[in-house]
Amino acid sequence: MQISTKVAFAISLIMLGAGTVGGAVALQQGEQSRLEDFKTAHDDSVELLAVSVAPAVAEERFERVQAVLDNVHNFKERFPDVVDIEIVRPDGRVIASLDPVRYNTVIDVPIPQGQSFAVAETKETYTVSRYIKLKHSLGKIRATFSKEHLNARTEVLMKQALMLLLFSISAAGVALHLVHRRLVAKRLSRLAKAAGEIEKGNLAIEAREEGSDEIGELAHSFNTMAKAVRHYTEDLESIIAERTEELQAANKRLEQLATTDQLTDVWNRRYFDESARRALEVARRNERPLSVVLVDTDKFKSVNDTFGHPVGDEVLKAVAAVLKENARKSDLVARFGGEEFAILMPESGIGLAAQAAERMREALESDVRPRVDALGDRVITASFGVAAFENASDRLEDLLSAADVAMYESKESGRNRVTVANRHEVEDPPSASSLSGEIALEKGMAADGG
Amino acid sequence: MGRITRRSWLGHLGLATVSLSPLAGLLGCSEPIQANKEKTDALMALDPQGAVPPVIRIGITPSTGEDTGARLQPLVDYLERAFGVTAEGVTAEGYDHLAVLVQEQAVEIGIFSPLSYVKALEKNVEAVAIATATRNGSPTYLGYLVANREKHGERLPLLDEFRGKRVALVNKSSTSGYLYPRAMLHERGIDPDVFFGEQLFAKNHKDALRMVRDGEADLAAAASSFVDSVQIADEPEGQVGEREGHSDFVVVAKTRHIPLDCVVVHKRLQRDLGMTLRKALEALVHDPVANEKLGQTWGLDGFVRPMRLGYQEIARVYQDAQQRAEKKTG
Repeated sequence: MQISTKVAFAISLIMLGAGTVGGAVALQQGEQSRLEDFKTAHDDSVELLAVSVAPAVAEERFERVQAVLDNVHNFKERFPDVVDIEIVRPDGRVIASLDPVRYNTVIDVPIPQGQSFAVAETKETYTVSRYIKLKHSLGKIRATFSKEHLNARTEVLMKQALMLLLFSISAAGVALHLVHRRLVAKRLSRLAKAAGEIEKGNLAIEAREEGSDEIGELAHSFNTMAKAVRHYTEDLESIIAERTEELQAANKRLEQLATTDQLTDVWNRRYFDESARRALEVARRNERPLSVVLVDTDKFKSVNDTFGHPVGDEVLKAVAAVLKENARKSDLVARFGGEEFAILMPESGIGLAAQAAERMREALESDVRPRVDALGDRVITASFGVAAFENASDRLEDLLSAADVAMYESKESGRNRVTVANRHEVEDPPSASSLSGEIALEKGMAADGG
Repeated sequence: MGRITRRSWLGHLGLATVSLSPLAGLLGCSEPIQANKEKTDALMALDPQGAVPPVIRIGITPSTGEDTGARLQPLVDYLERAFGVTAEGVTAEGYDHLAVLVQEQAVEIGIFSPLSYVKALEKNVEAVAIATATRNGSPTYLGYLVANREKHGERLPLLDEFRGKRVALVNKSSTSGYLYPRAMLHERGIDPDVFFGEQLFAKNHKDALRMVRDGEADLAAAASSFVDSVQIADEPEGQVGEREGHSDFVVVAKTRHIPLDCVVVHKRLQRDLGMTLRKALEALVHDPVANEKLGQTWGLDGFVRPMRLGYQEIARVYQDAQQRAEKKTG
């Protein structure tokens, strides 16, 4: 139920209560007044009748007295209140009656001593008894009047008053409802709608500011509040965006820290393992080739011992950089630990991997030394072990173990060379260049001793 | 917003219903009044497309010793003079014959005694009462039980004093001379067949009075009109004459009011003509010439709206009397 309807009903009920009480009092007074008029009128008519019939009663012309009452009987519509009239002699004999059957019966018409008349009243009737006199008492007249018409009139007036009251109150209720709806409810409804829009996220909404009354002020305050909420929200969004950016950068950095080797800026062992396992799975599923190359920097301890650890670190950085520069985009270069590196080569069989390893070996031999000034003419080389994924049952550990064995074979064979793990039949035989490399390696290792 | 609008309409509808219901009540108050007015006018039973005869024939019954034509003439003259209708009197052989004349539309107006009107209705005569005659301005009269004043001096004797005495009644078809006095006695707890020592029947009202005067009966039943303004004179054979200021009779008991003669028309008479005739009869009281002449010839002096309740009372009393009679004989 709308507030305007509630207000209208509430006020109507109050008016109804007040109107009912007021109306009841007014009706009561009106009824009392009409009753007094009724009694006065009938007192007068009985007195007049007593005077009129007195001469006929004195002459004992009872038929004339009866003729008067016959007129009342015959034209009852002119005397609607009259119920009964009886005229009695002093001895109590009825000499005329509205009901002639009572003629010559004896009735008692009491009138207190010293009074000329008496009245008796019930809810339905009013009875007047009066002496009929000329020079002396000739008898009495008793007339009974019905209050039916009076009561009916009161009832009609009461109904009309009640109807008028109900109609007025209902009309006032409707008017109140309409006025309240226009001045209050509709405007509050619009404000509620605007609040609903804000709840949905439409912060651009503005309530209509009508009038300078309380609701107008409320609308104004609402708009001010909405504006403030809008600004706070915008500021908050800006702060959130900034923080999100910082968080993303931090996450990126964390991720980088978790997956990258801090010294060489290539992937670390953990990242290599994860990536290698995934790549191995893909290769197994798609029956594609995959190779792993392990690289160990030759005589690195000697470098550290000779030039110091900082130079050693520089060497490792240079080795990593050269490996990265010579790896394909799809290859993954990682520091495997100490001076050891690993390269994951998806989509590469053993032949291609060996070729790539050889290319890297040559690059290391030629490119590392120029990058680390402290080395002077000391050439940096590395031993390579290459292993390829061949069987569906191969695990990463199997590949790494095979590559490791091959790498140590390169070490044992004189360092600075590429050795292909001889697990199974070789796809592509090593190229001529690798052989020359092996020769070169042998020379280098003889000088280096490690 | 749509929801809100629906709600407000509901509110309006509710309030409007509350508002209009008293209005409907106010309108409802006035409607039955109009309906009642139409229902209470018996002439609405007449046919609006009914017959309009060139001559209005007025049927009455003959009275003993009176010239029926002369009795009716003042009314015929009045209708012709005042309302431009052609009228004539028709004398029926009796009330039963008059009922037949009305039923067969051989007369347009029938003037019945009260009891004969009731009997005619019982025979389903299609008659509608349009007026009741008045005497001395009254459309009713009373039935009296009277005693000889000389026998009681100035004393008003009580009815109980006539237990075991002789009562003179008019014939059994007389309303005020038989039916109503007996009903009055029953109403007062008296069975006339047990109460009185002897029940005598007179030729008519005057004869009943004469019987009391002459000592042939102790009590007589008679219409009030025969007692109130006339009295038995000393003429031979009970002729009556007026004597102011004194009566030879003392009224011991009175009956209820009895309506006077009833004027009826047939239901197929045109309604407008019926209305005109009723207006004419009601206006007769204002025509001094007709009023006086009718009073002289018939003892009537005008007409008023029919005393329907009075005739219903006669019917009730008549039925009660018949039932009592049947009980006694059966």
